[in-house]
This record gives sequence, C-alpha cells and structure tokens, in this order.
Amino acid sequence: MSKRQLAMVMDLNKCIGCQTCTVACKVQWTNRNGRDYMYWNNVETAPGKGYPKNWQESGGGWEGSVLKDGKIPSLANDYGMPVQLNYEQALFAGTDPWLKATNDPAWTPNWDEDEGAGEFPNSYHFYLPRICNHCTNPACLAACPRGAIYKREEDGIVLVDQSRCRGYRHCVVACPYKKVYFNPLFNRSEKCIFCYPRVEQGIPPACAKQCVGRIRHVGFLDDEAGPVHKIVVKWKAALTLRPDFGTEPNAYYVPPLSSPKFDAEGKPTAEPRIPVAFLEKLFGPRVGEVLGLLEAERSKKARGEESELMDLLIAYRQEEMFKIR
Amino acid sequence: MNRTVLATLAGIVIPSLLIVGTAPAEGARRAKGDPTSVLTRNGEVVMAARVAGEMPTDPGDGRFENANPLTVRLYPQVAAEPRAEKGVVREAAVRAIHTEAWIAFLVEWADPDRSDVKQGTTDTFADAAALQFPLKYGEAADRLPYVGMGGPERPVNIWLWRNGGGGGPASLKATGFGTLEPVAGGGAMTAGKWENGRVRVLFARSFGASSPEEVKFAPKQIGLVPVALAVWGGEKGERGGLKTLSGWRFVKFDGGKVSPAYVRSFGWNPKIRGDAKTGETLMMRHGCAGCHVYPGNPIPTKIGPGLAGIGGIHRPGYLFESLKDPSAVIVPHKNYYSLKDGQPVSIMAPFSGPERDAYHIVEFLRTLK
Repeated sequence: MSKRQLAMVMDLNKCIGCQTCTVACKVQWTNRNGRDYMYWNNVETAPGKGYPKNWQESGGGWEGSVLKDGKIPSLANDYGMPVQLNYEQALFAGTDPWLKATNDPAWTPNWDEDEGAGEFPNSYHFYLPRICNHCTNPACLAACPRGAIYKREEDGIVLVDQSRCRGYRHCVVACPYKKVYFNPLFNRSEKCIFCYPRVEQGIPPACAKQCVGRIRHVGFLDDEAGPVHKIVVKWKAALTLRPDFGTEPNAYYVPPLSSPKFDAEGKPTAEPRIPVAFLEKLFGPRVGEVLGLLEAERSKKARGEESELMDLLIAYRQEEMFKIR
Repeated sequence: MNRTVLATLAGIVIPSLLIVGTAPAEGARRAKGDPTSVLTRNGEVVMAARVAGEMPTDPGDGRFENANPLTVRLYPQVAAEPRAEKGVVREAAVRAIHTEAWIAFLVEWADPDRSDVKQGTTDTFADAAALQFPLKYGEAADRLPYVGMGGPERPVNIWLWRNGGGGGPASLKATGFGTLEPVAGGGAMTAGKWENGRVRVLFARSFGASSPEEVKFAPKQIGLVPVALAVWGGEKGERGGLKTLSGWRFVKFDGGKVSPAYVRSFGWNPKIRGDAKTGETLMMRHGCAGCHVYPGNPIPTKIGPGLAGIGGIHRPGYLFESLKDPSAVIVPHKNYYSLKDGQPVSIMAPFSGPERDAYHIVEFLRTLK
C-alpha cells in the first residue's frame, strides 16, 4: 500500500458516452507505435460485453491471497483489429468506387454500443467509462515475476517499468479488468499511467480534464478538502467496479439512477429500469443504499434545500473537481 | 552457516573421501589422465569438434555433422512462480563445433507445432531456446552458479533465440530468477530453422567477449565450459519462467587444460551411501513434504520450491548443501525467504536430523528426474 492514493470518481448519472475522454487519452498516449488497438480509457455500454470482449469473464484477480488464472484477450477476436479504410483505392487511385474497411472486424470497442438489455418500453443501458483502477492490491503487480510493475509511494499510481518488462503478459492474465495491454511492436506490456507526467505538474489526467459532462473528479483519498474524499469517504456515495475481484480499485463510480419501469398498462412503477441486482453485480452490495442517498439528496436540491453532495456532483466549477496537490 | 564455511566444508569432505574411500566415487575419483572422463561417462559432456572456416550462420551448416550430439533431458521449471507444471520440450540434442576463434552450438528438438511471434498479435508466444554459461568458471573456487539463472554472487551469461526475433538482444545477464537483463554492447549470433517437425537453433560467437559481462572462451587455458539449456514451447504459452531446463552440462575442447579440482567440485562423494526408499519415508518424517510438492507427495503445497525433476536439474552436492544450509542459495521468490539484518534468510530450517538421514534424502531427491 502506498503512503497516499490519488483516486478518480466517475459519476455515471452524467456520462453521455461521447468518448471525448477516450479520444483525449488516445491522442495523448495510444495512437501510435503498436498501441493503436489499445484503449487505456474506454467507455462501454452496460449491460454489454465491453472491451475487451467479455472482460468480466476473462479471469484474473484474487481468490483470497491466491491469484486466479485468466486468459489473454486476442487482438482480432477480443480487442478488435483497428479498422483501416481503402483511402488510396477509393479516393486517389479510383480503382474502388466505395470507401470501406479493408479488414473484416469480428469485434471492436463499442461493438455493442447502446444495445443494453430489456424489452421496450423497459429497455435500459448506461455508459461505463473505464481506466486502470490503480488498485491498492494490484493483481498485475503480484503476477509479474520480474517485479517490473510498481505502485508509487507518493500517489499510488501503478506503472509498468518499460525497461524491466519482457512481455511475458502474466499481468494481462492477472488483471481482472483487462486494463494491461500487450504492445506487440515493442514486446512489452503497457497501461493507463493516470497521466502521471501531467499530474506531477498539477494538471489532471487528460480523460478527466477533457470530460465535457464533468463526470470525473480527481483527488487524494485522504485530502479532506478535496472532492474525492468528500464523495467517497465523507458521503460514501461512490463504489468500486467489481469489488469481488479483490484488487481494491481506486477508480470509483457514482452508480446510475434510472427511470421507473412501466407496468403492463404503461404506468410507471416504483421499480427502477436498471435492475438493482445488475448494479449489485457491478458495484457490490451497497448499491441500493447509495441510490437511496442520491435520490434523497436530489429531492432536497429539488425542494430548494442545500445538498453538499449534489453540489459536488453537479460540479458548477470545473476546477473544483480536481485537487491533485 | 555462511557460504565461506560451507565451501570450506565441501573442501574437507571431498579429500577425506579420497583417503577413506568408503563409497564408490561417482564424480571425483581422481583418475590418472583425463579428469573429465567421469563427466563423459555420466553423459554430461558435449564434445566440441574442431572444424575450419568462418563462423556458421545457418543451423543447417554441414560442419555440425562432425560433432557428436549429446542428448539433454529437460525438466519443467517448478522452483519459482509461475511454475511450468507440464513443460513442452523434454529433450534436446546439443552439438558444438569450434575453430581457434569461435564456437558454435546447434540445439535441436522435435516440435510438431511450430510457433513464432505472429506479427501484431497479443496472445501468441514464440518458441525459444537459450544457452546459459557461468560468467566465471575453471577454478575450484568458481562453484557452479544456481542453474536457475545464476545467483547474487554467481552471474550467468545467457544467449537467447526467439523464433521470429523480438525480445531484444540475444545476449543477456542474470543473477537469479527475475533479474534477466540485456548485456549492453553484448552479442551472440542466433538463427533458427523449423523443418520436418524439428527445430534447429544455431548459437555462435567468437571466443572473445565484447562485454565483461559475457562469457569468454579460452580452451587452451580452460578446456571445459559449463553450459545449461532452456527451451520454451511457445504454442503452449511458455515464456519466462514457464519453460523446461536442463542441469549443468559441459562443453569440452580437445586438448584444453582442465583443473582436476574444478571437476571435483562438480562431483558427489557421499560419506555415507544413502538409500532412496528410506529417503522418501524421511521426507515425510522430517516435514519436507509439508512445503515441497513432488511426485508421490499427496500434499498440494506451494510453500517451498517444487521438487519434481530436481534430481535431473541439480547436482547431488547442491542438493546436500541446500538441505544443510538452505540460505546458501535461495530461490528468489518473496515467499521463500525473510530478511534478517537486510540479508535474505531461507524460511526453510537447516536440516538438523542425523547426518545419515540427509544422505538418504539426497539419494531420494536424485531419483526425481
């Protein structure tokens, strides 16, 4: 465990799935040199198979103090080959009248975007942005026989030492979130670095800074004056993804409230559209309690009363969402 | 007991045997003439054949026909995590040829499923092979490094071939599991060929090394060079510690000088002749089976290194030392040691039973191959 932990809170009630975070990350870090297929930050649709495909069933994580076995996703079938278009033939040589993909992808990020689940009028989905969780008990770190993965004392950021990594991919197997990626060009594993070069200069990670929906708060868990401490520790309004994997993530989520379900006559019921059981599988047993808290605070605000939690989540001023020093 | 004391002890045990001669010497009976003949008899010597011409660049180089192959058994790596529970390649043939200036090895094994690095994939692994040499060898004081990639005071130089390339330079250094690093400015020629269900890999280098961290060859001064082999079956996901490895073998140059004391240091001359069957029972009685998994032990423990194949990978002298002084060589895994005054101390207690029992246990361990 590191001395301090920098963490991120993502409010799923505000995420609109615009992928600005994805693009911000990609342009900054992964649009070149064998990283083209990698999405250190991705936004997937839940329910859904996600990216890489079926990552939740890919194994890894902890069973007590023992690492669970897992699989390495394949580029073509699970991540998805980056699609190339026939620009040359269609636009310049004129040998093909149609602009189209030159490969036939079997899967890509967002392959099942917006599909969700449920039958009309009770169909539902929400967006789930995912980064490396910079876990307190990282399975990737434990799995590396070379000690190439380390967790920084000063902020808990988990990094792969590129000079030590030999591309064995035990970390890819061990990460239950499949947020470590193998770079086939350099034969090394790489992952989200929480934009540490930015963070060291007091600038938030690109995904958080560029987020147009203002869903991402960044701060130290122990900084009582910071937004993350307030939402996670003081208000206990944020939960980690798949806590049953045992890695103790440091990316937190404010779970999504949903519209009421309709009954056979088309009348709204008291039951939420997104089944609580589904959210409990994703975020653990406290989901119901947190949703109750959010509803209560939201009604307060609606009645014109004060709510610190709602003010935090509304994020009137973007700079107040980040406190990273 | 520290290393120096142990080394001294080994020095006492061996000559005393020569005088007393209570047991048939397997390793060190000083024969008149060639001190290495015992190693040859045990099938541990790759005889390097003298040839002429330039260094080979092709595994199919016809000059290897002049060299007799040595069949080397390979065992799954089960000492450090992650363990290679099965192990794909279990046997390889090694040949060596040389001139005044260079040495070349041909390593060959059966492999019906060729596996190379498929460009732009995330889930495939390449077949690979490596030769390992102690950085220092030739004198009795240069005890053989731990065969699992050397140890803190006994570095090894490793030549690595990976099918399809990748993985960086071919010359690497290590001082134990998890310490592998490329040798800066180092190099070795490697080339592989897959033909008719067999992989043939060539390793070649000039006698002189381009870095002080690489093994040197000077057959006129030292005519016997320890070498160990590891092979990875990429198609079954083998990489890193998931591999099969051999025990130390020896490349012999004809007419080279060999220190008899050096050869004796590889030998095993027990004061008491142990009995393997008794040893197996003692493994249970002395609690070995509680921490070490091995064939015949029903306890699925991973507290200590696995012992399957240990009789094929390690020399009996090393096994005896590990029993009496577990901290002399510690397999680098955080669960295997604790730190005492900053020094790693094995979690295994030194064997405190009767001396005779230690010999019985070593004799049993030797059968695990």
